Amino acid sequence: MSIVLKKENIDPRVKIFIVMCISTLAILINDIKFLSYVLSISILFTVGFKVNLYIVIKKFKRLFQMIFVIVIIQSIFNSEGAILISVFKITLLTDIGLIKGIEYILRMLIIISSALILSTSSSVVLLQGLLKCKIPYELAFMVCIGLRFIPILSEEIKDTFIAIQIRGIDIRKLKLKKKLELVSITLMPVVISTIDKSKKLSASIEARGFRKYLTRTSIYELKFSLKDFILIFSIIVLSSLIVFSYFK
Amino acid sequence: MKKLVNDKFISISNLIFSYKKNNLFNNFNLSLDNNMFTSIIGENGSGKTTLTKLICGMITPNFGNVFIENRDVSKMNLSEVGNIIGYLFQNPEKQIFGESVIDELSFAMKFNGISIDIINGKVEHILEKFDLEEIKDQKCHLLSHGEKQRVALSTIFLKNPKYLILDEPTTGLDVLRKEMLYKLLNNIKNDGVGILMISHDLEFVDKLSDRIIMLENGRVIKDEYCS
Repeated sequence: MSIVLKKENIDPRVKIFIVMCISTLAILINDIKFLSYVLSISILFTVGFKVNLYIVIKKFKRLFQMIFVIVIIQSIFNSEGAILISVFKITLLTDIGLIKGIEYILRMLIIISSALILSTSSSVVLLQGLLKCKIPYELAFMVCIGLRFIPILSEEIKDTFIAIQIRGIDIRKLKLKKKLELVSITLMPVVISTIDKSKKLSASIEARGFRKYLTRTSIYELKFSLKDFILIFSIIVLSSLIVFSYFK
Repeated sequence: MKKLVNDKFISISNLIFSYKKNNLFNNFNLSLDNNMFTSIIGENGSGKTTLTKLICGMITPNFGNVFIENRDVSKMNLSEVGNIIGYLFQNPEKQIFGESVIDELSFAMKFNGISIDIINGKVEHILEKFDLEEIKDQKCHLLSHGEKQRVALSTIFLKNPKYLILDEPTTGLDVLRKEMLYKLLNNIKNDGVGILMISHDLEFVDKLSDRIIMLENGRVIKDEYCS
């Protein structure tokens, strides 16, 4: 029996490097204009790696709503700067609060969009990439397994809320206190089931002789191609341009 | 689109549904009666569970409509559908949230603001009907698969649903438990509640069904009424 592993176009190490550069820029920069540039670069790479942004937006709709609510709360509690909106002498929104809110949104979008680049690699290939970056095998394996659990967890939560509603509970009509109570009750089975799944997975890994041998071989060898070097060069140039212009 | 008005309890008209790029249902039509035990059989991936999820509005079709009592499911909340149809998941653990069996039975009613007296009355009645008295104080996660299934089924009955959808209820049950489930479903059927059951257990299907539908790649290849 032959095992065929589809060779990926771009080396996972390049993807990891791009994500590192973009997310570091997102943390370093505190300026709307420059953060917009970083976001544009991040989206450019995301689209370049053939991530379907429409599906992502649909999937992360709730997360975006949550980010928006956090931004509003963050802006309201920021009293620095000139007042933009106030009600009965209570400051609701200041210019600095608004700027910080927009920066927060941009930063989150950069991190989410850049992280999507990693989702274009399979976990096996990503694991190889992390190993080549001298990350200890156990740690790299843990990261890949962790990534594998994200969609499982999201699916479990989705199913749980469907199961609640099909039992005749209209979540939208519940008061906030009841909603929070419901979330705390329902998240418990999700967490328990995820822990259960991880236990089964670890038992299965052990049964298959995980780390029995010190050296681990792979049928898939990573090699840099010209395309990879061009991508590394372009992200270095773009990041340097932004850093120099920002700290100038 | 012209509203479909007929005497069928569930009507599916011109349904198109695809998973990613695979077209599963293409112009699918089906009607289900309320006073009938209907079984859906078919190999894995033929679209049985997807069909029941489409009926309840858990997933949205690409095109076409599903009507429950002539009401378009796409215009109903899941909770509204849940008050008419009781849905038993393949894995009952998915729909158990209470710590003990009693907590589980009163779970939905508590959140719907029903008074304690009414809850207690209903719970007592259901405990008796589903023979759960002995395990009423037990922790749900410690119950066997069959017991969990019985608890899940009993919680559905607290709402007096007009119709039941059961997704492979015989999976993981031993002969004795299967016989108990048979008696239970037979009683429910005799009470006039319509049932749609997905099963691979042909003997079980044969014993209970008034109508058997066979699916293959999202198409009905056999639709027979049993005598």
